[in-house]
Amino acid sequence: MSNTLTLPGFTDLYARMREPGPSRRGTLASESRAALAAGFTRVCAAPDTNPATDSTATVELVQHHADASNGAKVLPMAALTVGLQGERLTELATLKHLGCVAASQADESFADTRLLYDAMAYAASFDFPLIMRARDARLGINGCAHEGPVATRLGLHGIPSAAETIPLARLLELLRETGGRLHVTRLSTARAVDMIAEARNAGLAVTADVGISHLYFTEGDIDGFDARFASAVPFRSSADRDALRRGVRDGIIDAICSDHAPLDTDASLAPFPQVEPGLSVFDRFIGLWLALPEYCGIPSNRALDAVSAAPENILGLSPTNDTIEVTTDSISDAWLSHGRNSPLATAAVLPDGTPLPGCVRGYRLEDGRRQNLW
Amino acid sequence: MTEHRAETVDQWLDDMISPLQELLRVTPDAGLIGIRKGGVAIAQRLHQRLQPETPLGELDIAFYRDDFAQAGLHPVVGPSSVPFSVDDRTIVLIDDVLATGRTVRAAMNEIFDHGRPSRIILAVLAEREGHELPIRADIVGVRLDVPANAYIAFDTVRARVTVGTRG
Amino acid sequence: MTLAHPQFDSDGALRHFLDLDGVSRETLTTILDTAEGFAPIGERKVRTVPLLRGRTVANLFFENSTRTRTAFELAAKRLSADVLNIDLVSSSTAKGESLLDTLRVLESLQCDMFIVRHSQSGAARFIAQHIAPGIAVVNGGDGQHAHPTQGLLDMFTIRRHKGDFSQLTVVLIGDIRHSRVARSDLAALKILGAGEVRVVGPRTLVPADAEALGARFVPRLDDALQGADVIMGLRLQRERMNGAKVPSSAEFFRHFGLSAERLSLAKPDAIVMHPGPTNRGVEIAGDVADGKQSVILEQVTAGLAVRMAVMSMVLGSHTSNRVESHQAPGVGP
Repeated sequence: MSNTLTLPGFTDLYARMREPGPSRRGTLASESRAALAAGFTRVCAAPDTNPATDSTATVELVQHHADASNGAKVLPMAALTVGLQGERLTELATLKHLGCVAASQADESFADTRLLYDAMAYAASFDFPLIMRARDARLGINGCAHEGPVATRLGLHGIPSAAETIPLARLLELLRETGGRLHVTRLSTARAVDMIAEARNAGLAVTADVGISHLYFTEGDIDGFDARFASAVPFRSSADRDALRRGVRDGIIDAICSDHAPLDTDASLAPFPQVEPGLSVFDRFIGLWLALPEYCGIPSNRALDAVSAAPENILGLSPTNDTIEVTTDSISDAWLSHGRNSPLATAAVLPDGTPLPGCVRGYRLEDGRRQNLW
Repeated sequence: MTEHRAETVDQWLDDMISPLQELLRVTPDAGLIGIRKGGVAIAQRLHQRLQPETPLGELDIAFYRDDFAQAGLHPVVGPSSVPFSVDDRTIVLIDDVLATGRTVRAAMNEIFDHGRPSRIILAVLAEREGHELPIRADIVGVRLDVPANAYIAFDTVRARVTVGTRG
Repeated sequence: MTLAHPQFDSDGALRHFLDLDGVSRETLTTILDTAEGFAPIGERKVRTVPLLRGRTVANLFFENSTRTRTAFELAAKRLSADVLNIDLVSSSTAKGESLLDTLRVLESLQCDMFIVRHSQSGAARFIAQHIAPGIAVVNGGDGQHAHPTQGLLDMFTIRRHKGDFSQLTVVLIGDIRHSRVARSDLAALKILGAGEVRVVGPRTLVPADAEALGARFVPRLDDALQGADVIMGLRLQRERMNGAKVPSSAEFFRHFGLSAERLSLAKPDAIVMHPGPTNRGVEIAGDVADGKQSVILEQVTAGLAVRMAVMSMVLGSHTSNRVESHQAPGVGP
């Protein structure tokens, strides 16, 4: 039974488009079109490109190639520090003026707390949103999985939950002093959800998101060294996953992003600790999103808000006039990401066999473009 | 299916006793070695009746079989036990049934890895057609004339011999 | 889970030997029984059997370990296999050639079995998943994950001395966290139904969730040793005993070293084990390592029989009859 929904176009707060960088992992053309097929008409592009998106030249290149791509509108994020090295600030005001919607340190850690303080204060003076992941790289050194029973059994170096909560506390305490707009991206722990709630209650202007995969998968999915579930933000315990689901349901976690990380096949062909982490998410995003009410207990209006109004507000964007048509009955392979590193790539089912039907049938963008994908 | 009762089997064993007694008279230190499993049961009965000075040996030929490449390792393997030196000794190798000769070949290969016997005598309860190697028994309880597709099974518990047809 | 364990074929027979996940008590017991069959061969004049004549076993060591390599080499030679030692520590993999590229080259050497030692957890499984179908993989130690033949030889040694596992109290001391030996020992003890398994050591070396490994954490060594039947020391790597995980080797020995005095807290007939090489005066006192309760050298000898059993069982499951019977018509690879 076919059932078509017409919805506002989604906005993704965090995805990797891989350009500039090796094109076998993805290009602005391939990934922005895959984003449209995922329902996103606007995508924040992570700055961990190669080279990093830390200069006017790179931002202009991204914009130029994105405009020619005929895909989702790409919103570049500026690297917060030069080369994402955490040593020198980039020209944040200039990059904002050029069209960057936010600045981010991507998946890199921030060792120098003084510089982080200054970065947040400087961004605040230009009302430039920061999209920051809470990560203490040193605490999770060599880590490739949640520090828990599965990593213990497999003999994998673990990433403790404190590697997220300690830097989150640091961000929140600095925000208290510097002010500004802080968005914490891709939470993974139950404790972090509580900390966001406590900070909000204390009056701090902080927002948060979660990668959609983290509402489904747990540490148990990497058992047997399943490299398809190697993720930079580790999949943690089922208690953590349940807290993330409740966080989205209750609005403590404002938004859901894709955390799309396309990789070439070679990147996954190594023993688990040497695999490059990341999941290619776009191709199955709609299926995962449609299953949120039934599978994650998130009401459909909240699920829609988490990918539309909430990210728009976080970025300070006006509501979109783009629309997408979503159908629940089948899967289209119209536009695929270059990334084949998805645990759901070969069949639109979850590891436990739950089917995830659904695809984007077509879209109508406010610039007048309209297309049926199939 | 034909069944030879325990009394019949005892008669066959009787027929093996006198040539073995003669052998032990000439070479009193001859060592009896049974091939697991059926051969060990026969060897135990013979050893009990003959009471030779050398203790009984047991061979598990799983590591010497020539069909490893086809059938893999035998699922139940136990240690071989040869509690005497085989060097310069007369060895009486004992099995229940001699057919192809492949088991005996494997057993002889193993014996030579324990040392260099002065000679090996083969004693079997039953011999049948179907030799695939130039190996014949020296001491035989009975010669059974059975069709090529028949099997001969020695029941170690009830000391009976069954002759049946496969499939 | 969606991924099947690559070490079992469709009949549940071991086609590789990578870790103890999913290995039944029956299979594990069969391996130990088979090893008992191989054990007397070492006492004979001719110490070889012709079982693997014409087969080639390659030692693929991506990480140095003379002891393990030698044990596998000798076990393979006692089975009459040809042995190839390939030192990959200083070779092209170290220079950036991918592991898979290296494997493709080694496959063309027409070996029947790879013994793999690698510094990364999960490497043996990864190799088994990507190797040509005719080649069996035996894990000779992968990162901190598993060293299954060491686990089995420890069980072989315990069984010879103690018999029934269900009545035993087993204590593992020291660096559990970074030890593949500990993980395989704990997995094997769980499969065999050991009565009580305790782990003891500083929290830097014992994972917070020791029960995930089937063991109970006991903070103090003296308490852990009470009533113990089997005491297993573990090697503490040099780089961890100088301030990183342990302030000093002397402090470690004071609190977690197995001295003769402490050993007297265990049952009088307790056996003392260690996978070697031992750091005397760090994990274990010299007089305990050499004492009458020590079975450390027996463990080394048991390693030969156990590895012979594993190699012949795994290669035995790669036989022509079995392969044919598994290939149903019309079923692709």
